Amino acid sequence: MGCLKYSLEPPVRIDPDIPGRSRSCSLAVTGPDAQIGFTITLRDTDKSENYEICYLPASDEKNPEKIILYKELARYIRIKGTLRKRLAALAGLRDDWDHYGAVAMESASVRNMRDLLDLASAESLEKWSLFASTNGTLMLTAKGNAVGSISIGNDAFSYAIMVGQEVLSHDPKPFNAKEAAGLLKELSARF
Amino acid sequence: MEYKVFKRTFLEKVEAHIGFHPAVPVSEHPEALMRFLSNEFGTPPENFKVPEEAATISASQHNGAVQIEMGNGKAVAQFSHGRYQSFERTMLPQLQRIQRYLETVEGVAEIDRLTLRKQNRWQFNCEDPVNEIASVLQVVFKPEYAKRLLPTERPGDGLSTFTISDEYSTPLKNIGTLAIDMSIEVSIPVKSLVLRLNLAAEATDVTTDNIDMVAVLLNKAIFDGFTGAVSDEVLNLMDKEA
Repeated sequence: MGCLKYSLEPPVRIDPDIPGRSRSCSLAVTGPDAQIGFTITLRDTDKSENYEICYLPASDEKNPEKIILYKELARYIRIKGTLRKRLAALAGLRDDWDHYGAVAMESASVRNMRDLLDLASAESLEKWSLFASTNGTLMLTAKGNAVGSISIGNDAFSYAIMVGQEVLSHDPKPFNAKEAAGLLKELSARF
Repeated sequence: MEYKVFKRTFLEKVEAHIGFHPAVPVSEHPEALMRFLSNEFGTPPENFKVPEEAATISASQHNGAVQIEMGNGKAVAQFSHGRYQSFERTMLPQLQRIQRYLETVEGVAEIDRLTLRKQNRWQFNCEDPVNEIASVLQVVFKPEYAKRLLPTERPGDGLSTFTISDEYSTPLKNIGTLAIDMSIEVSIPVKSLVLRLNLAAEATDVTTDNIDMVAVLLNKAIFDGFTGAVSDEVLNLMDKEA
């Protein structure tokens, strides 16, 4: 780097006098493109970098890392959003929705499933599809390499799933959204 | 969670504010200021003098990474998003520079206030932003924080833009306070949804030679506040290599 450049032009900016306030101005250590009048270009001797004014607007559009990060985040939001909309649609089913006498969704089951969707991570939810059961409860059915489902009822939940040759199952137990979300995460990690 | 530096962040702005007294213009200390400039940035030319009207001195890196302003009872360091690497690499060196300014130019032994502030922002564009509020909140924040911003009922049809916000502060034992301000801004015409999480940790009556040490504690408090509010999924995303 060359020697330091200290420029005294243009002159120091003087803020207009405001009644009741003291007259002030700024001595700015800035570069040639600065908006502030008094300009000096200085070097940070520790880092050998020039100091000057260059304000960057808060825009993420040109930052490729941010774009990738947002894409991943958007995927998560899409997963959750899709399941929430699906649940809302299933909740609106009426009796005999399958023309074989299926009952409408139980409001307690819908509420439990909503609580589970709220708590479960999108990454684990991505591996499941949401379906209605003919008895008015709901179930999350495994996608991909696993076969089986998690049933969410009015008061209880249970699961039976086969991953490869391994069968994982549990009889109905009292519904707890936090526990069910933990189970979903655990099962999802297996396939 | 143990303190760590995330590989990717949603930071929009990072700032440090210091308040001290007496509030006098930098032109009151021309010789000390010249020495400071010389030590920090290199020797000024012979014909350079501190103008009598100068109230504060500000310095900005040409790439916009750092902006600092000192004098008149305050010192501020600001870092634009994308340029902030970590507290240790980005903030601390500038705070130590301010510390040297306070000691050598202002002769201040104790400051009134030290505030660290980090602003995080998530912006989403979607066809029906009102319909996405719950999904976005649940993905970005932990459940108890998402609930704070969840509208209790669907906003009326006449509403085109609205903001829901929540703020609270919590004492930091033997240090100061941590203020958390979170909001969701929904614009139906623009089809956008913006989440903000601003955290500000503040300590009062800090001796000048302790500024960097106290700042480390404040930064850890902000880290704890952030990781306590943001979902594990987003934290995992932030920890992944780009």
